[in-house]
Amino acid sequence: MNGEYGRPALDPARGDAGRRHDEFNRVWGNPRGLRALTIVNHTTVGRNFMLAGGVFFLLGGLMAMLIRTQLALPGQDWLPPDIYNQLFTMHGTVMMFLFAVPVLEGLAMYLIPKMIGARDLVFPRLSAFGFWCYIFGGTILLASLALGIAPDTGWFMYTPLSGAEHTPGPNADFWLIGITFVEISAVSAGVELVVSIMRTRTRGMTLQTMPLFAWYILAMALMIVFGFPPLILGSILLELERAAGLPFFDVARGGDPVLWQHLFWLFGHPEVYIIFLPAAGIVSTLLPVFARRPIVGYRWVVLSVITTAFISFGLWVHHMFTIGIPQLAQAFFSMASMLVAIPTGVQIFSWLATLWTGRPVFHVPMLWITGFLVIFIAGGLTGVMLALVPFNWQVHDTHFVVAHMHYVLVGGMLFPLVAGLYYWLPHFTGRMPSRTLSRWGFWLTFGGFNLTFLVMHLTGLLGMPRRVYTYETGLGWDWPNLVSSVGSFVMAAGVAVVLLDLLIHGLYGRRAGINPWQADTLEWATATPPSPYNFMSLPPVSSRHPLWDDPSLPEAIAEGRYALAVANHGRRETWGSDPVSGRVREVVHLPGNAWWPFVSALVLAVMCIGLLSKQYLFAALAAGVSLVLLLRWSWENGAHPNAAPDARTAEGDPPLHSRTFDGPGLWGMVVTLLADGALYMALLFGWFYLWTVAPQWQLPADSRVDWPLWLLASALMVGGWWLFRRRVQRLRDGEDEGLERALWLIAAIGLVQCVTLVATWHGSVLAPRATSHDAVITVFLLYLLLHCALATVMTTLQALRVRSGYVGRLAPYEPAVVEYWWAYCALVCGVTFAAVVLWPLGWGGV
Amino acid sequence: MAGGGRTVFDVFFRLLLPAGLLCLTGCDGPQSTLQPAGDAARVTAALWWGMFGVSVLVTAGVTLLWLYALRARSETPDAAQQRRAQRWLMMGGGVALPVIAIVVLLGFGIPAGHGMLPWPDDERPPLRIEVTGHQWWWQVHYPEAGVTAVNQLHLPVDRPVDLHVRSADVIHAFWVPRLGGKIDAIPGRTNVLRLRATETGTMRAQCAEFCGLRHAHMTMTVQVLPAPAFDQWLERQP
Amino acid sequence: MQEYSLRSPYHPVQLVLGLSIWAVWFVIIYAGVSVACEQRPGGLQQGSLTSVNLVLMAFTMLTCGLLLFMAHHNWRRARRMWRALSPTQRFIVRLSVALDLVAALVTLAVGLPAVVLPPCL
Repeated sequence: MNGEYGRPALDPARGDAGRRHDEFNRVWGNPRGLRALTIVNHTTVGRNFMLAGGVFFLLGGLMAMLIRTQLALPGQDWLPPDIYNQLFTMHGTVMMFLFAVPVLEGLAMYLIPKMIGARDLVFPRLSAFGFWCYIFGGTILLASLALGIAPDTGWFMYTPLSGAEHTPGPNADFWLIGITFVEISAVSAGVELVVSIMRTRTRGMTLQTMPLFAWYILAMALMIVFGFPPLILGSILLELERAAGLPFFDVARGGDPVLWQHLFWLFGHPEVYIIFLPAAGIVSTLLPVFARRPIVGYRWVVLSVITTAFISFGLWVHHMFTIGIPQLAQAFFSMASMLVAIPTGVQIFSWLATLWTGRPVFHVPMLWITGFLVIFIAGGLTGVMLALVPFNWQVHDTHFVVAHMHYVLVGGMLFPLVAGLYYWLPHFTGRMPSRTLSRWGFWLTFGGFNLTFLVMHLTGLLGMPRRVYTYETGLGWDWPNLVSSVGSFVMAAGVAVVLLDLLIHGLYGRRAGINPWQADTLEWATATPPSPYNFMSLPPVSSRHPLWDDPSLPEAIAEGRYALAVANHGRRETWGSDPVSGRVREVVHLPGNAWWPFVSALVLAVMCIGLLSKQYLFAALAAGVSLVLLLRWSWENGAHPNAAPDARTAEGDPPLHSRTFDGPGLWGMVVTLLADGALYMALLFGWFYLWTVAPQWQLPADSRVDWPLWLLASALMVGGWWLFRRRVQRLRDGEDEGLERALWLIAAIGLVQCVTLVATWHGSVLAPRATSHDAVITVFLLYLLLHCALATVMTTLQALRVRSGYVGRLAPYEPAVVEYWWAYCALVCGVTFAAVVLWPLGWGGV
Repeated sequence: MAGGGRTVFDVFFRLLLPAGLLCLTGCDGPQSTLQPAGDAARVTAALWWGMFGVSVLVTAGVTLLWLYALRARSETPDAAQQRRAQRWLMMGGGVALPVIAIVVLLGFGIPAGHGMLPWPDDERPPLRIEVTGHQWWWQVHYPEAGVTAVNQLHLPVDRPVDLHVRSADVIHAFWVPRLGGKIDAIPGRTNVLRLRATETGTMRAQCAEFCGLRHAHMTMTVQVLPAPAFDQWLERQP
Repeated sequence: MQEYSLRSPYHPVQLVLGLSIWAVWFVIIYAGVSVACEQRPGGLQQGSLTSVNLVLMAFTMLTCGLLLFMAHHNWRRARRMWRALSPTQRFIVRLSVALDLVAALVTLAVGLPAVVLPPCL
């Protein structure tokens, strides 16, 4: 590092650049006061995610302290079991859903656009909406704790314990509804990150020159897209069972409690890799900077990341080794669980090799990364132990597993996160972290953590199960629990010191210069703290290390030397580029501040409260209002006055994306359909699973699905789609003659189709409360109805937009997006028909 | 710039100290997996110690490599040295080490698991016991003898026993750590657990799947008796 | 720079194709074993040489073979046009061939238990 902290910080407001800065701020500026609720900018939203996550972390940590205090000595019950059960459930739930994923998503939202040379994420209002869903969902969940009716059946909510019979109160509903609400934010962030990384990289940033962090986040985001929907479906099904009596997990009526476990862990296992991968991404980003050389084996790391992402979906049953599944089936999962250690090992040794062949400097973040390494390796090894089925049978559901998971989660996520917080502190706040206080924070946390959890492996081996509010003396558990509890206080002290340290130095630390760590990635080319628009001009890149290649890049960018350096057209703009080559294809225009995200999320929160208090009519009303709000929000797109009515671009620049046939919206639709498809496949899985494996599966004697009407509905959907596709094809050829008429026709077909679906329901003899068979068919029909109704509504809106002049030959983009939804609807109509009507005919004969 | 202000020894000391205490105070207890009194538990405990030893070595080894790699140096190794280091570390550590570890683990683990399965034996059929989990107590039924007990399990020593485990309400888990692994009691299913006790004495079982308010108290006493004493006990029951 | 078609060895979809095939194979073998054991449990006397195991082993070998073929085929096709490929396209080819090989190995490894364990115990 040269000098104290390198060159003086960028001050965009000074000099010639100052005029341009004002021009940009008129377009990109963040309002204050109440209007701050309308901010959609990724820097603010990402930062808010992290701050909120930090608050939830502290609350979750407090719950852990209460738990450890109770368990310090045998026979304690100052926390009676009902309160204790709420505490450990909420500790897990808050940490996993309200801290781990949101904080890392927030960091990704903050960093990704800057690292890929973009000005914002690709759906800014969606990020803001996700944030508010997260805040409201988290608040609802914590409110339940304050009211003493928090979920109390463990963070995995196994049925039948969490069913209506054994948890008659609203506790479980808070989890099911609140967490689903929060998951909307996770899935929407996932969709957005995929599309942003694929389509808005700066000129010349090929897949091969993309920062590793972008690969990690791309993998994480795709895992969220496929991994969260099974839990969303499971939660919907359980809530339907609890509130409306539709059996899915009730044995007597043909359900199976193990189905819940499958749906939960199909999500649950990828979830922990969703948490680990971004943290490993942080390590892969920081290590080369502190080793002062590029990472060793970029391709190996990408290979490992992709492999881990896929394989992690094949491990879920290792959480269920004791439920009585055949050994051979368990062995598949055991093998896969061990194999996943290999790509992880490759990453670890890539980091090691980078250090080995570099010139390491030891700053604060490196302390935390070293701590991560030690703890995570230990945790990974106990994980491989747990993958061995005979050993698993002894330690499953004991404190050994608690120790393992804290090693991998705290070691594998918290430590890299803190390393990242120290590393990017100068970026968030413009000030450098400390040297002395940070060491105290590290050693207290590291020492306290190991004191708490190392001996806990023994506690589990000595036979102490999980989730017990107290224990008897004389079993050998007394001293290990005391040690763990003392350790937890030491760790808490460490966490407090770290937070204090970050706060104090974030506010009052020494001012940082440009690129104080002499890093290679683009985020350090913004001002610190960053301006809302990130870069005054968007530079081309030609290598993985733009700032090592050209250390004066930050100043050059700020002088407006590169592309898209004006904002007098009033639009927020960034590049739209080819996903592989980084060749610039469009100018993507982005929405500015808006009330829609906040208000829509608020109304959805009201709907959740309605569901929780069992005021279903009120909830339905709120759902209707939120739908109207969401649709009205979608109206302000493309050529709308509030979006980009003026399609003129600078000479030499490509067209606005909404005037082409490709753009973020199309990609967003595809990725959303992937998530939707994952949910649908989980439902399909549930259907086949119950049919083949449920202990008391029963076909109601007089169950009948009105299949002719259903066939008609499917045919209508396929027909509507086919018409739509042809019309879009003609639009591509430049013809918008009769577009509006065609859309009205297609919308009408959609309406008839929805009516036909409703008629199918009426014409069928189904008793959804009596058997799982009928319950699942009912859910299928509801799913189809929802989707086809949305298809109709969206097509109607398109017709109206053509009439208003927002869609047509010159702005042809949106019908292409809606056509994909029709394709999906047609597909699921057909597949459901085959699964529900055709397949039983064949299976019944067996 | 100096290293982290602490030495390698510090890191080690912190890691080993709790581990050292482990062996001093002993690993015994009426519910301890490390004081086996049955076939399955013995095999698993042996597996544990093997895995534990290897894990300590691997953790220590990689940590030492890391700390060594962190040492300050003024010049980068030359290109040939770099390539060699990369190849050894990435292929050796990243691929070969985990693969070898997995192969060794499976080499011991598969036979271990194999032996624990409830293989049918027509010549000497195992004793059949039916266990039903309730909120929050255990019902133990001996179908041949027509005997039912509550929160007590009596077993003959040296004889394989098949426990048919069911649940009357929510998911529980039946577990006698000193004899073997656990099996879940799931409504709608009957799961079979094979155990064979090799030492007489008293030990504990505890429900190992969270089942509600009094989950922590859902324990059971397990008495392993010599065969004649066991038969006598059965006869004495009403 | 070469133009893209879905079947080009340098199309980015090749990056996920191999492991996606593995995923489908995995679902089929797990579902297959579960359903087979639910419908017709027993056959323990044969150890690991039941019809279920043999089908599993065959399916595993088939899938592994398919993945190896994909890797080989894509590599050969790409090598023929190597000079015309951009660095990024070469990157995609190398990575996707490696991923196909990984998928083949993982398929083989995960399917290995079928050689040793009986299906329904």
